[in-house]
Amino acid sequence: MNPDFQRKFPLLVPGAFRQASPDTSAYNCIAWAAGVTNLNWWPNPYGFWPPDVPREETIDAFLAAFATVGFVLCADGTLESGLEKIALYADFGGPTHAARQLPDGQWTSKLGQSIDITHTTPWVLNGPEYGAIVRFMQRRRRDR
Amino acid sequence: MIEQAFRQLADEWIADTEFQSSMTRITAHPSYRKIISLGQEVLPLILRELGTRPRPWFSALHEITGHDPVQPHERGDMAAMAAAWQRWALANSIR
Repeated sequence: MNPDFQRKFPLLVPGAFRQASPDTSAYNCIAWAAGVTNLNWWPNPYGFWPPDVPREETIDAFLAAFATVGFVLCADGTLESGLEKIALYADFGGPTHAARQLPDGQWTSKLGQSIDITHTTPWVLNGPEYGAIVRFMQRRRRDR
Repeated sequence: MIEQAFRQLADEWIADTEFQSSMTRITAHPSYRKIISLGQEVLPLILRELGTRPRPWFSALHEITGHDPVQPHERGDMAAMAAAWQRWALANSIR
């Protein structure tokens, strides 16, 4: 485990998360939140970015990217039957991370180039590494 | 000497950016920038790293060589981008 893990994620205490998969660089958190496991989504020259969405590191551009796979803005991350929700995180520099709600109400995150984790709430990722949640989005759940 | 310097910088870069998804932040990391400043000598070392495990070395390779063999449809696909650079290295006798 990265020796700085606790400093980067002070709210990810034991019991608040578990590792769900080995580390891989095949996909990143934005792709994972969108349901994609073979690409890194990022609006820079070496990331995949949906066509016709501005290649900008802005909250609006990330919302537009998630809209291409059916997500629309919603009020919060409350578990609702038939809906799949995501949380977008940002800090002073722009978007940093996205997490996706699982059918049982827990959340799943791909931590950069590292592991997937299952976490109890989206809020436990708030902190120095990802900043804070800035928007929630939802779409009809497809795995039912 | 160069290999030792590269290894130390690469390890620092990986440890500090492991949980980041922002390729912009990943490639702006001071250790990544220092690796680029080492120039052509680190090309074989970066390519070896890419062969072991694809990481976002593509900006560094582009900045050092001035080339970019990654096709637009390969963007985001780490394995495809790594393979593109390995083909480029082979064609340019860099190993």
